[in-house]
Formats: sequence, C-alpha cells, structure tokens
Amino acid sequence: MDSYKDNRNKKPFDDFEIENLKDHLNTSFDYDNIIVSEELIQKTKKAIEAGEAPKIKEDKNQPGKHPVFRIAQVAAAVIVILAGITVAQNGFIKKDIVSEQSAETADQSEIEEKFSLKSVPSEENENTKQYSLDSTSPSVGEDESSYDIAVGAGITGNTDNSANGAGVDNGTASMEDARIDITSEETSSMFAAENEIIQESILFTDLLPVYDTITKITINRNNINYEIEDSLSDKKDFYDLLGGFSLTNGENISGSINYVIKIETSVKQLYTITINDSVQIISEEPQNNQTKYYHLTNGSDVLMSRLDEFIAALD
Amino acid sequence: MYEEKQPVYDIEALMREYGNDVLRTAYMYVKDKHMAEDIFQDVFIKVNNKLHTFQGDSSIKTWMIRITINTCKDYMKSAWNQKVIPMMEYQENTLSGEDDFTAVEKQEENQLIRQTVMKLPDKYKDIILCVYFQEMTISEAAKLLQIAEGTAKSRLSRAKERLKLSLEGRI
Repeated sequence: MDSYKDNRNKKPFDDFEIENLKDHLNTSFDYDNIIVSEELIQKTKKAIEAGEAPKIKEDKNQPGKHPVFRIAQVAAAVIVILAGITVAQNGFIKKDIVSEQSAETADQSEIEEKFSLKSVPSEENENTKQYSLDSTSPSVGEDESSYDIAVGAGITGNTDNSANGAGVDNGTASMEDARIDITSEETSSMFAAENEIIQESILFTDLLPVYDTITKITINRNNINYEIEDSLSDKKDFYDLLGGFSLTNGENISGSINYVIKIETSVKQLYTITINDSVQIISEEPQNNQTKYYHLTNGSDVLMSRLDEFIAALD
Repeated sequence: MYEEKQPVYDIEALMREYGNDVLRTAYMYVKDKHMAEDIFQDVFIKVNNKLHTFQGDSSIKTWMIRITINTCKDYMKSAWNQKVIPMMEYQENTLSGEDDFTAVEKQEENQLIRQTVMKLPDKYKDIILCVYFQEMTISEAAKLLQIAEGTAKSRLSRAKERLKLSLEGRI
C-alpha cells in the first residue's frame, strides 16, 4: 500500500492540500510551543526510574465489564430470586387461606364484600395483567381501584408496576400482603400473571448474548439503506444501543413501518426489528423453522431518537 | 549461525526522536497541553514497561502511536466518567506587528486546520492523524486502529470530505 507521500504530487485535495496537513499541524504546534521540553523528558525519565505506574488505567473493554452486561447480570439475578420467592409463596398460600377461612372473624363478611374482585369478569382480569406489562395502558385507573380494594387488606398504594425489576418487585410485595384476603383461585391467577411478567421480561442481550456474532446490520430508514458489515465498533455501538431495552413475548403486529433493521449473525439467527408506533423484534432461526415475536415494553421514542443519532454518526 | 538481532532501544532516545509525535498526537485528542504532557509521561512509562514485548511487526513509531491513541481514549473515557470535560486552550495571538500580517494570516490558517481536525469525530480523526500526520500507509493505519482496510479507506474518504466541507471558503 502506498503511503500518502507517494501520492503527494498526484492528487491535490481541492481547496487545501491535505497532503500538507502534517506541515500545517507542526507549524501550528511549534507556534503554540507544544514541543517536548527538556524538563518533560527529565520528569518522565525520573518517573520511569522510580518505577511509577501509568496514571491512566487501561480499558480492556471486556464484554463482562461493560455496564450493560453488569446491569443485565444484576437484573437476571433479581429475576431468579423473585421467581424463587414467588414459587415458594405459591406453595404456602393455599395453607394460609385455609387457616384464615377457619378463623371466623367479625371482619370476614366485610372483607368478602370488599373482595368483589371475585365477581370481576375475566376480561377485566386480563386488563389487570396488561396493566402490569404496560404502565401507560389507559386502564391504569381502573386497575388501580381493583388493587385499592386489596389495600384494605394490606396492599400499599404503590401500583407502578412497569416491566422492570423494581416494578415486579413492588408487585410481588403487594401480593404477599394481600394473600390472606383472596381465594386460592384468585391468588393462583394473580401469581400466574406475575410469573408471566417475570418470565417474559427480557433484554435484547438475552436474545443475542454476544455482539461479535453479528455479521451484518442493515438499517432501512425511509427507503434508504445503511449497512454495517466491517466495523466491529459500529456493530458493538449498535448492540449497546439495543441492549438496555426490555422486551416481552408477543404476537406478530403488522402495520406501516418507519424503520426496518435486519441483524444477520454467524450463528444462523436473523433478527428483524420493525419500528412504527411500537417496536417489534422478530427472531428467526431458519434451521429450526422457528420464529418468535418480541415487543418493546416502553421507550420506543428513546430508541428512535438514538437510532437517528446512530445513523447520523454513520454518515 | 545467523541470528536475527532485535534492535535495542533507549527510552531517552525514543523520547527525543518521537516525543513530539506522541505529545502532539495526544494534544489532538485531549485538547490541553498539560493533559497531553501527562499522557506523554504515561505513554513512555508504558513503552518502557512493554518494550520487551515489541515484536517489530510494525515500526517502533507506529507501535508508540498506537499506545498513545489508546491511552488518550482511555483518558477520555475516564474523564467522561468523572464528568471532566477538557476545555480548548485559549490561544493568545502574539504576532501583532504590522510586518507580521502574512505570518499571522498563515498562522491563523494553520490554527484553523488544526481546530478543524480536532473537531472531527474520533473515528475520522484517528484515520486522518495516522495517514496524514503520522505518515502511515492505509494498511498500517487499519492494523493500528483494528479495522478492516476497506473500512479505513472509506473512513479516510469521509474524513477528507468532512474536512473539505469544514474548510471550504475559510482558507
């Protein structure tokens, strides 16, 4: 490969001669006295002789050290613990309820009255589940009142059950307080919903644990294609961009699309991300003829603006 | 029997020969003379510590520039983590005599070029500095920056385009 020197007289760079960049920079550095001084040399020699360590620590950029991985590890640990607690609770609840029923108290009729939740139609129960998955659901107020009935029996007012770990945690604690006041059927259905949240809430990094299996990323925005094939750092940046968003399992949603992003991997998995009002990730394993659909639980606006920034940086 | 001899490097000689390249490359990233001097010191401590691992796959200068760029990036990351944002140094223009008009104009042009290169996104600055400041070949630069040669070429082309756009009509 020729160095720039070999081409120096062949290809002038329109307005300013980029081949002379070194001269321009060196003249400018000389002028500003950015020159290695004798003092700096002696100071550095002394530091070397004294066996001083470099002040700036090397960033090895190990995948496990990356903040996204650390957060994912902590989140995974929390989910495992919560799942364990929930399963253990499921085993004990029936026993609790039986003992409660045998002890007839003066409040019992009042509590039963409060628990009109029993007569709530199944569709409404479905809403309760949906609320847990999506905090922006319009049925929040309605669901809040359902939970408030249980508050009389011990549930606190915190019903901010988003799909993240904290939301799930609050939900679990609240459920624990309420368990003495609800029938076994209701309890199991509530815990089943809770388990479902725990099981379904995943990160993109769970779908694709390592970014260096990505062979190609194609981003289509408004019918313009951007391809990332060679640059490992661009692939990593893109992977990091997706990594923090939480997803849930779901059905295929079709509609008009602003972005289509295809991620091809060396492990024969293909991920297609479609973005309109909502964000859908289609995970395909052609070898096993398997297709799964995931949806972003929240933050699609944030994802879109980050994608715009990412594409701008590619230009 | 023939034995391939590894050249013996003296750290002070390396500082004197390549010190300006290291210091000035560092300055292009950290944008501050004192920080650049700290990086210079760190780079030569690392060079001294790792000199025995230098295989001679590239020139000693390329190897040192690689350490410099990596140290700068590590510094920038740690500075970002500590919310320390390097400020551009205030450049006082000391050439103000009437006879110095041309020199001032020339100097301003050099400053403008330097500032424009410094403002480039890192990936473009990396390739421009390697190829046009450190006089590396595309393949040497690609190897140093750990990118494919094709990527290096396209980045260089984009970087030149950006420089051209930024400097158009200003010099």
